[in-house]
Amino acid sequence: MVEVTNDEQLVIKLVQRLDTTNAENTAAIIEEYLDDLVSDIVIDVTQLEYISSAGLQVVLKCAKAAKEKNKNIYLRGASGTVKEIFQISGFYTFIKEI
Amino acid sequence: MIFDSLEDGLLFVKQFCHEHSLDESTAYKLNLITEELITNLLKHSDAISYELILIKKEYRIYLNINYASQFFDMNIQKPRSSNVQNIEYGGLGLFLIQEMALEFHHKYQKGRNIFEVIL
Repeated sequence: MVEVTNDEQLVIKLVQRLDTTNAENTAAIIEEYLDDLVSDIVIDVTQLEYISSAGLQVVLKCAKAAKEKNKNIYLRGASGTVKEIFQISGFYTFIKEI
Repeated sequence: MIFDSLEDGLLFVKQFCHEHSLDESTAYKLNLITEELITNLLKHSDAISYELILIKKEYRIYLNINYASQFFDMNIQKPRSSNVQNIEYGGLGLFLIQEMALEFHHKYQKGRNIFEVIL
């Protein structure tokens, strides 16, 4: 679901599915890191197979936290339909792809 | 088929995708559209169950989700902003459906909201 490492950057690795059934739990796990955010955020979706609007809301929450703390947010490893979802949702207007 | 949970509806979609050997992209879109519509109806209406109909005809997939409830006003949740950061939860789901479906229609008949999607 989600793996978080907090070193030079806050790396949030989303795996398998991020949908209505698990978005709330994922957001709760991430929230404590966002509260104490001192670095840029990397959303790693290399192993993410599926994301819906509920999952996009989790990423949006990260983007808002980064903006509030004047940090950058990056998206890593998007491909296939997952990438298409980020594109058509307009996320690349505020998340840089690396 | 009549369902009362998101999980059961998505399982039905998964079986449909498998039976019809849908490609990965189409299966993803069908899953997502179904998830968005079911989530919407379970969260924003008083419906306790819904009917889900899936038909594959030649190269097209026809999805029908209908449920008994008050009229669902699409305009309330339609994105009012071009900035995704300002779109409310339900609005983003409907926006994704509109972008991914070939056709997306809603009508209200005999006390039922009827959503029809063509992929």
